[in-house]
Amino acid sequence: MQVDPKLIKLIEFIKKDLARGKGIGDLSETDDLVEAEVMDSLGIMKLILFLEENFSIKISDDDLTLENFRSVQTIYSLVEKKVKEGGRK
Amino acid sequence: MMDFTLTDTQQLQWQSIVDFSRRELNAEVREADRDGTFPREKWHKCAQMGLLALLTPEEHGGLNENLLSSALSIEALSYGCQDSGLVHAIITQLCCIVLVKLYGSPEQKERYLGRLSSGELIAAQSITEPDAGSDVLSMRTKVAENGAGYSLSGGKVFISNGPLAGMVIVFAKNGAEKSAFGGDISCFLVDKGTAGFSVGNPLAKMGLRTLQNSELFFDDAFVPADMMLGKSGHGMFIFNEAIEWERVLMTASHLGTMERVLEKSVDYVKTRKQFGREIGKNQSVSNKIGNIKVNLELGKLMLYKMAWLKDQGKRATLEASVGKLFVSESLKSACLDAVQIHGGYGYMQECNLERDLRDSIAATIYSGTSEIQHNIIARLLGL
Repeated sequence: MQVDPKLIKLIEFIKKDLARGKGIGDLSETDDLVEAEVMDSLGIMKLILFLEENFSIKISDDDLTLENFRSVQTIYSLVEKKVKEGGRK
Repeated sequence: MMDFTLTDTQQLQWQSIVDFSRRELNAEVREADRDGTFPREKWHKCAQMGLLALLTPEEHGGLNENLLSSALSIEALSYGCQDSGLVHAIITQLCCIVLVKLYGSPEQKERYLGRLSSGELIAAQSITEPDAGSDVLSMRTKVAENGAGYSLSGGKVFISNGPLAGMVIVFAKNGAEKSAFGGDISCFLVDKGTAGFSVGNPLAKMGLRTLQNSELFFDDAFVPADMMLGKSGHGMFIFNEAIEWERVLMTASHLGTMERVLEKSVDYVKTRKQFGREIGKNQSVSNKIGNIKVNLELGKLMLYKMAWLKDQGKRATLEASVGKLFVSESLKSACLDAVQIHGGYGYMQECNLERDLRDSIAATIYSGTSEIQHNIIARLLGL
């Protein structure tokens, strides 16, 4: 099965930019990012900027739920949903 | 294609605000600074001029200007007005208006926007705590559900407009120790007179003395459910949005002050003579002047980009930090150089530059210290 390169890019970003130095080893798609304390206030802003720039979408206030950002998988599901809705609005 | 030309309306507005400020706002500034008094009469004059209504929608009695035009107006105000404390109070009010405009319910907008824009009601936003300055997430002010609303407990410090505010925007955290999005911070509108909410005495400061700052205390203060601003747990995002608008408007005011300080310094070095010639002919003096001009022009470009991004509905997290850092440090440097250029006269209160210097120190502290701006920029670069 071929893994979506965008998903790989997202995982790499979270590993390199958000989780670095936090003692987190291999990051799976389903790991709980909140439980692992991967995201602080600036980290979440970085992630939103990353998603908006790389996937040409606009993350709205309504998207900012714990469930949407709990894991790489849920973040990617949000991205896919936003892209299907027509991207940047 | 880029166009840096101001529209006719923007140019006219700029000049009318400068004229108004010089005519109405510059009397007895030294005395008010000395006594630490808020110039309420001037506040109302600014309201009549429309300066509190710049960003308010028309249906609530406002001018509904975009952020770029509003920033230009604040730049003009700060250029004309020598009371930086008053300008700071106005920017605080504008930031509160923006939060209600962006996140308020229709009822909240109806209740507050008109009165805030007319100056009848003064607002404050309270984030900073004794142990939570730059590290906002460590705030200890707690919110707990309480029947038909919420209870707030904790304290805030250094709150601009605090002693005068009829309404305060309060950021508070729920009990969850571990959660996404900044520890589940929520935001509330709290009216003066709310049981359990009290305000400390105005704090004595090094500068910005006409601006009133105080502590706020919440002792199980009950806030009805319909006074939550935005959604539960969205406080961190509201804060991030607020801080971008604030950094744009503060940067605009710093640039206005820099322009005034530059103009005063140029005038001085062209008339002050030592050893038979104008002191501006000495490179050690003219280099200082040149540096102020360089920073002023670069700062304006950064300001206009920041404001333009926000007007496009885009995020300006990096740009707001870059602009705020550069311009606030430039202002401090410009004020220090201006005092030096004016020599003994610059050191005297009568010259007004020592007040600008004292006021400028705060610019590199509030709205995120310079050290924090460096951290944000580094983090956003992936460092």
